[in-house]
Amino acid sequence: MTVKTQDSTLKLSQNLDARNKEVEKAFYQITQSVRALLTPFESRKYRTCILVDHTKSGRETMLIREFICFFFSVTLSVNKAGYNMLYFRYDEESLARFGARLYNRALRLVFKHTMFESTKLNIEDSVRVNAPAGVQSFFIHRLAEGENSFVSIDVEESLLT
Amino acid sequence: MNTQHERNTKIREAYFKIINEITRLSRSFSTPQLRTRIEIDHSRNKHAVWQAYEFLTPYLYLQLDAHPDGQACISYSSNEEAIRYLGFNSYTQVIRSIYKHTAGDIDDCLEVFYYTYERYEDALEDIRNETYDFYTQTEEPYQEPA
Repeated sequence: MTVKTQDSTLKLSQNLDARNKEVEKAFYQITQSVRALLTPFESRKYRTCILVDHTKSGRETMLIREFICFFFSVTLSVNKAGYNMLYFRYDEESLARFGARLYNRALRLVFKHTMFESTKLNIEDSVRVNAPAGVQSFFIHRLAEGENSFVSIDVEESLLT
Repeated sequence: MNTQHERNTKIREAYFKIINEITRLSRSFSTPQLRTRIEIDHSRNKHAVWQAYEFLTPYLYLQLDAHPDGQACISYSSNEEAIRYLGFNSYTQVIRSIYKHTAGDIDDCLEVFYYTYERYEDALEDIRNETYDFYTQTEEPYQEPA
């Protein structure tokens, strides 16, 4: 986390603000780059990406933004101390059915964009990799609800077409 | 990379860098169980034809092995139950070290599979019974997190 100095609360607040912006930037970079992993699939379902902007949902929530596809989700949220956090969760069933290739590639991108060497501030501790669990049900639920003022749905172009 | 030998050397180096980093990280883990690891160096087994190296903890299994074509590979599996005790922050640091050291031109050497706690328990049993001399069990001393 941001190193606390003996300066002032203002300094800490600026550090936190800068750190949170860096985490937000990493979220953007991750969600842009993981889209490329979906393009080899023929089925539209596997190439569909859902982006939820929770800040526009009108609900009070710790969630900020959420990227969901059939295989995994990346969530940007804020914790109780005000630190932005990134959560990566891979779908358990997809891991069992399709193997770990996509899992490895997606996780590599999460680490690549948050590694110490590629960010202005050290945000490595902003990442939480959750154990594989159900993501598909969230994906299908969001897909069924469709687009609205805070949910956008895109289909990546297939490399096969 | 020029030859399979060079590539395998690089993968082997990456594997031991991961082990070293996880060992270092484990010093701040709260319980002796989480700071304990078992290493199995099959190359020290004079009867073995298998040259693999295994690294076992209650939360992670990491193996250096080779495919039938001779390509070295690193496989890992994590124990979801133990992650609860380890905490997601420490767990993510452990997983990050695996991906960090296998990035670049050896990134396809990495495989993931399901963790079975029985493998760790069996290894503990073998250590207790002193069944094999190429098994080592080490408990890292506790150090306050930096």
